[in-house]
Amino acid sequence: MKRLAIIPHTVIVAAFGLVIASSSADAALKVNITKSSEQAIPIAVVPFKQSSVNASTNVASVVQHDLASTGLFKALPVKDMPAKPHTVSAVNYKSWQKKSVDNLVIGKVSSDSGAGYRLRFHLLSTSPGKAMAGWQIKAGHQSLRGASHVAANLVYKELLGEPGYFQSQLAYVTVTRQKGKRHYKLMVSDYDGHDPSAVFTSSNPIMSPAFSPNGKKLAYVAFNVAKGRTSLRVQDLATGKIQEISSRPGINGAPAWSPDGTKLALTLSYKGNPNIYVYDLNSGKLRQLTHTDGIDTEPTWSANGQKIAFTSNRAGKPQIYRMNNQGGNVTRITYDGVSNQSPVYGPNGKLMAFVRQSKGNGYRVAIRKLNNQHTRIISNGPLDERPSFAPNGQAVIYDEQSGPHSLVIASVKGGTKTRLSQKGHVQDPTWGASAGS
Amino acid sequence: MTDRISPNCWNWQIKVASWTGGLKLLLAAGSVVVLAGCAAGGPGPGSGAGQNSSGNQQAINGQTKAQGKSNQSVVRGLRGVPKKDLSKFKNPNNPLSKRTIHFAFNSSSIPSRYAKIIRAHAHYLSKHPNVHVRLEGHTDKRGTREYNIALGSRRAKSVKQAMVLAGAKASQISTLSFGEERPAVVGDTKADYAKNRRVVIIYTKH
Repeated sequence: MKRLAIIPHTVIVAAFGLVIASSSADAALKVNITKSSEQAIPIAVVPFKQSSVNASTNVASVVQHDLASTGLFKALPVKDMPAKPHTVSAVNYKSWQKKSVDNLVIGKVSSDSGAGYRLRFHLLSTSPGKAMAGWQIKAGHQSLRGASHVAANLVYKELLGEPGYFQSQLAYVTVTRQKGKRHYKLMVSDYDGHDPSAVFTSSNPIMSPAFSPNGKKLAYVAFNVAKGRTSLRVQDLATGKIQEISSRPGINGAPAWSPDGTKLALTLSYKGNPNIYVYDLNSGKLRQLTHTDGIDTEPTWSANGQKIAFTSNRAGKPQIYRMNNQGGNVTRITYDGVSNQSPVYGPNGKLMAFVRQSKGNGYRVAIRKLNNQHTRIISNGPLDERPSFAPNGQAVIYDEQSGPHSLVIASVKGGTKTRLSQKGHVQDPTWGASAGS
Repeated sequence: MTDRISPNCWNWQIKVASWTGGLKLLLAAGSVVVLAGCAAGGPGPGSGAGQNSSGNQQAINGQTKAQGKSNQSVVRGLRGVPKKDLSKFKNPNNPLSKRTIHFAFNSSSIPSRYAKIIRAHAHYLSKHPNVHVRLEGHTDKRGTREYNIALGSRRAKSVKQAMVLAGAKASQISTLSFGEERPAVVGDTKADYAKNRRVVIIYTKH
C-alpha cells in the first residue's frame, strides 16, 4: 500500500449564481453516533486553518464526522491531538505515532479570488512519515460543506480503494401533529441529514420514496383521501414536475427502480389482490408478473436487473421470494425466523437486506451474503423496517419505530450506528446517489 | 496503484458541479411543488379535503367514546348518510352506530362477532342504492409499511365481500388501505395494537 509522492489535484466545486432558498422551516435532523467499531483505521483530521475566511462550516469536523460515521475509521478527538499543523513540513510524525494515529489529514481553507473558497489538504502516513496524497478543491460561497464531503470522499477512496457515500442523499417522510392534525412531508437531505428540503407535503400519508438510480427523480406514494385514491408518481427533483404512474383503485405502491432506471416494479391491487407489476417508463406499458390470491408486494431488483425479489404470504406468514424479471422461476429464499419481509438488493450484487421477525426480538434488519446465504442481524429491534443501502453498499439506513421514531444508519462491516432524529416522526427512509452523478 | 490520473479528477469536478446546482434547484423546486400539490386538487391544508381529514383524526381517535355524543354531521364517516337517517347511526342501541371491525394479527378474517354489524350496514345499503361507503383498512405498526398496506387492503376487501354477500351492491362500496399510516391510537401495548387493526365503514358523499 505504499504510495508515491504528492500529485496535486484540483477538484472544483463550482459556484452557481443561484440563491439558495431558505429552508429554515425544515429543521435539520439531529445526528447522534452511538457506537464505534474496534477494528477501525486510526486517523486524525486536524482542524484546518480557516481563520482567514469567514465560513460557518468547520471543514475538518465535517470530514471527521463523515469518516467516523462509516465505522471504518476511528478519529482522534481534537483535544487529544499533540499539535495542529497545517503544512506537511510542520508535522512531527513521532508525536502522532505515540498517539497510535496511522493517518493524518491536514489542510487549510483560503479565499479564492472572489469566487468562493479554496481547500488545500494532504493525507499523510505517520509510519513511515510521508505524504500519501494532496488535493485542492475550489468551492463556491455556499458550497463549503459540499466541498468538505468531497474531501472526505477523496480520503476514503485513497485509504479503502472504493468510493465513499458522503455526497449521497436521503429521502424520508416526517410526520408532525399540529392541533390534532397530522402533517406529512417528503424530505430530501444530504446523507447526514443536513440541508433538508420538502419536496411534497400533504395532510394525508406519503409513503415509500425511492430514488432513481441517478438520484435525479423520486418515486413515491401519495394519498388523496377525499377521492379515496392513492397515487404512485415520479417527481423530478430539479424541476418539481410530477409524472403520474398509477392511480388505479386500490393499492398503487412499493415502487422500485430497475438498475438502468427505465422501469419501475410496483404493487397494484385493482384486479383484486396485491400483485407485482413492471411499468416501462418509456413506453408506458404495464406487465403483470405475479398472480397470487394472497399478498405479493415489496419488489426489489437485483443489481444486474435480472431478478426481482419480493414479499409474499403465499405460505401463510410473509416470506421473501425471488423470480426472474419476467415473473418466472419463483423460489422461496427465507426460512429462518417467524417471518421475513421488505427485501432490498445491495448495489454491488453481493448483499440483500430485509426485515426479519424473530420470537422475542420483534422486527430487525438482517443482511444476507448472496453467495453463501450467511445472514446477520444488524439492528436492535423490536420495530425496525425499510432498510435501504448506501450507494456503495457499505451501510444501510432503516426506520426505527420503537421509542421516538427515527432513522438509523448502520455500517455493514463496522457495527457503527448513526441515529438521525427530530421532533415528531421521521420514517420510511431511502438512500440515493448524489443527484449529479 | 500509485499513479493517479487527472481525468478522474475531472469526473469529480463534473459530479460536484451538478450536485451543487441540483441541490439549489431542489430547494427552489420544493416550494413550487408544494403549491402544485395543493392546486392539483390534492387535499391541502385548509381545503375541504383537509377539513375532512381533520374530522377524520378526531373521529378515529374518539370513535367509541364519541358515539351519540354529538349531533353534528362532522362525525367522521357519516357525511354520506341521508339526514333523516342520521339518528339511527347515532343511536348506540342500533347496530348501524358501530362502524369499526377489528381483526387478529396478520389476519383478514372477520371475527364472527361482527356479523350483526356488517349485516346491518349491508341491509341499509341494499335499501338505499344511492348511498355509498368506503371501507378503510388499517393495521398495527408491526411489520413493514407496504406489506401492511396490502394487509389493510385485504381486510377492507373481506368486509366488502361480506357486505355484498349480505345484499349490498359492489358498486356501492369502495376500499382504501392506510396500512399502519393512520393508527387509531398511539401506543405499543397489545391493546393499542388491537385497536389499530381495523376496518372503518365511512359513508361518503358520492
